[in-house]
Amino acid sequence: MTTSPDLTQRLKALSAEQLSVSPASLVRDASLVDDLGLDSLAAIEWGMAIEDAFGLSLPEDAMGRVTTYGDVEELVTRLARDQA
Amino acid sequence: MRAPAAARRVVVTGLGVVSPAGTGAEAFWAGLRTAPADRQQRRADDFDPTAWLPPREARRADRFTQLALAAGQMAMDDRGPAPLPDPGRCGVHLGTGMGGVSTLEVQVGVLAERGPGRVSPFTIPMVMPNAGAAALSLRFGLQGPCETITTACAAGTHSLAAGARLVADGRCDLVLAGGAESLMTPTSTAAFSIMRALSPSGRSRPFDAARDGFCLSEGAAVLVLEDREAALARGARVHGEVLGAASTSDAHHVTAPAPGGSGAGACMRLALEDAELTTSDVRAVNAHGTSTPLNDAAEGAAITTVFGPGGVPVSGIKGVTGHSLGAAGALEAVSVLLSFAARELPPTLGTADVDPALELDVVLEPRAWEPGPTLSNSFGFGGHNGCLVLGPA
Repeated sequence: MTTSPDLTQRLKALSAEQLSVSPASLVRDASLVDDLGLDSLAAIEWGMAIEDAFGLSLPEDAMGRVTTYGDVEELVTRLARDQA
Repeated sequence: MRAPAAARRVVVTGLGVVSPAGTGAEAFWAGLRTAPADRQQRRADDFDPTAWLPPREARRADRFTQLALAAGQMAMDDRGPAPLPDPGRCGVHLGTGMGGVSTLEVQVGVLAERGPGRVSPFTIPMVMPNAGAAALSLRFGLQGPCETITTACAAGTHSLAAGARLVADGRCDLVLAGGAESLMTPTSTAAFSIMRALSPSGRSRPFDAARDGFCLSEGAAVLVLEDREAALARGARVHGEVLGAASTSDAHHVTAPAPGGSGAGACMRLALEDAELTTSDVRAVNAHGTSTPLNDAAEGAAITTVFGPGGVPVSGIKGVTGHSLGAAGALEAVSVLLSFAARELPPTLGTADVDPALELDVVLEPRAWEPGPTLSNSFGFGGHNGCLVLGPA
């Protein structure tokens, strides 16, 4: 899947702030739980922030099905295209 | 249920404090001897959460929990690097009046403006009154009892008593105990104000004839409580000893104290009995002294009934700290422990003319003294009374 550089940069900045991690740690194969310390509540909050920043509507359990940062990038890219 | 496994003496091996009067023991003690500006609301302005919590943890913690973590970290640092006992025998008892209501107030606004889908998923774990206790258990890996008492303005004292009991009875070898509060929100302030509880002059003056209410504040204080023998065996520095404690209820009115402070007086007597002391052994009283007309009249009457007119020096620190509600008793316990080290009673700042009707020996200037058993009082809405007897090491 192709991703827009602008979207990925904005997502990275937003995610770094939301997860209190350095942008450099947000690589595609970073494990959300093991590498980025995500828990279920933080995932919900992150999802809200993504919806607000990109004007998207995430499916109910979308943030519960992602396991890597790359999954989130793809999810947001797909939704941004589908909901444009 | 089994009888207590032990009857041990309990000492304080570490202390930490965050308050408008100062953060850290040294600043706090200096603050207690410096007259503050008149302010109806007193925040711990020099408290910087980022100095105590990583950013992610800070965002998920209500301010009362941030204050508790800072005070707890200071207390553990003060205790020093000695290894902790078995984690299953280490506990937490942290009191609060209202817990994370500041967070609740923010989220009520979010709900009204943006709807239920934008309420923070961290709301419940931030608002729950036990959040501060849980945060301390998590930070230090303490796996024994971790509990919160909410008895309004008596919560800090009750929690110190409950924590000390865990050590005395042999259930725990170490307990972090104290209180934390921060509810200086627009709604809470308006609510206290409409009750006519807050001082219109912004000058807290315990036991003064012109007292006109309390000054709302925030803060946290945490003590490390340990078995005396173990502490002495490892050569720990000891700030003082928890000699006794008691708890009673007025069963009179939800906010007004019982006439003559009868419930408070009963509590003081029971605490002395628990400490196996008589009134003549008590060298000072650290009063609840909120500076409201009713509290100070009832507490003053109780002290005079128990100790006789002018029978014991009485200090009140809320003229400086303001009233930090569920944290107040813990802050005041710290002030008592520091008065042992300084060999000086703190002044009741803010107070100029002691109400003659109270017949109290109110300490108005710093007073040199020979440290001895000290009674620390806390009374809360709901008719809750808590008294602690602390002694020098």
